[in-house]
Amino acid sequence: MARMKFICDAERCIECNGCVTACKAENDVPWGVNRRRVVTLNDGVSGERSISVACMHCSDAPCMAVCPVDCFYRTDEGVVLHDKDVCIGCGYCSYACPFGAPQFPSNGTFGLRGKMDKCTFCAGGPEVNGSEAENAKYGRNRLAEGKLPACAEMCSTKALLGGDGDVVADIFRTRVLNRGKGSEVWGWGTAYGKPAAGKGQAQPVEAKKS
Amino acid sequence: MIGRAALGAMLLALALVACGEKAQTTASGPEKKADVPAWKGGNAAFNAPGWVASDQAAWEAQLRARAQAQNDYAAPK
Repeated sequence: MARMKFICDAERCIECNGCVTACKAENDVPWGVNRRRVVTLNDGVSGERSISVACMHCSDAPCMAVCPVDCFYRTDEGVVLHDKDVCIGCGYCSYACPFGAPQFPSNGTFGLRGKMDKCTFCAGGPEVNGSEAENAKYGRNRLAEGKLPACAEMCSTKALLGGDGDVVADIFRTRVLNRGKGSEVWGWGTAYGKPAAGKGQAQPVEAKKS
Repeated sequence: MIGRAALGAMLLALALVACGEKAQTTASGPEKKADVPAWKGGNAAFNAPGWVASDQAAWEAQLRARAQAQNDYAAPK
C-alpha cells in the first residue's frame, strides 16, 4: 500500500461544507475546533474555486519536527497522529504547519488552551482501536473498521478523495482525462508536473464516448 | 571529631539538595504509547459490511475496493 492521502478536486467542490460537518459529527470534535475547513479562492470573482483543507499527513511533517515533547508519530500507512497524553499544548505545531491543521480547544472561564487536536484521517490515536478512550480523545477509528475517512466518503460531489495515494491519484487522473482538460486545472502541475517541465508528462486526451 | 565531620557532611548534603534539578529531557516525561495497526481491526460492531479484520493484505484490499466508491468512472458491479 502507498501512503494514505487526501486530494480535493477544485473543479467539483461546491463549498457545501458537508466534509466539515461529517468530520465534526463523526469525531465529536470540540466546539471551536474544525479539523477540516473549506477554503474559497477568489471568492465572489468569476472562476472562484473552493478546496477542502485539513491535515495533509505530510511525508516530512513540520509539526513532528518542531514538537518539543515528541508526541507525534507516523503509522505504516503514512498517517500522522499524536499522543494527547504527551502533548503539552504549546502550539509550536500550529506555527509550523502551513495548512493550519493543528487546532486548540479553548475551555473554562479564562479560555485555557487545551491539548492539540487535528485530523487523524479517521485513524484514532494510540489508545486501543475502537475503544471509548480513543473515541473520547481522538474520535472514530474508521480505518480499523475497514472504512475510509468520513469527510471523503460523505462528499456529495466526490470532490474530496481520500484513501491509498495511488488509488485516489488514479481516480483523479481518470476524471481529468475524461474532462478533456487537465494541465490548466489548479493543482495538476503540482501533482503531475507542468507540461513545459519536460516530455513524458501525462497529457489530457479526448474522452472516450461509450 | 569524626562525629562532627559526619554531621558537617550531612548538613552540606542537605544544603545542596535544593541545587538538584530534574532532568528535562523527553525521557523524563510521559512516554508515547505504541499504536496498534489499523488492519488488526477495532470494534467489530462497526466494521464495514462484510469485512472482518484478519491480515494486512485483506485490509488493504478492502480499502482499495472501498475507495472505488469515490470513482465515477469505475465499471459498475
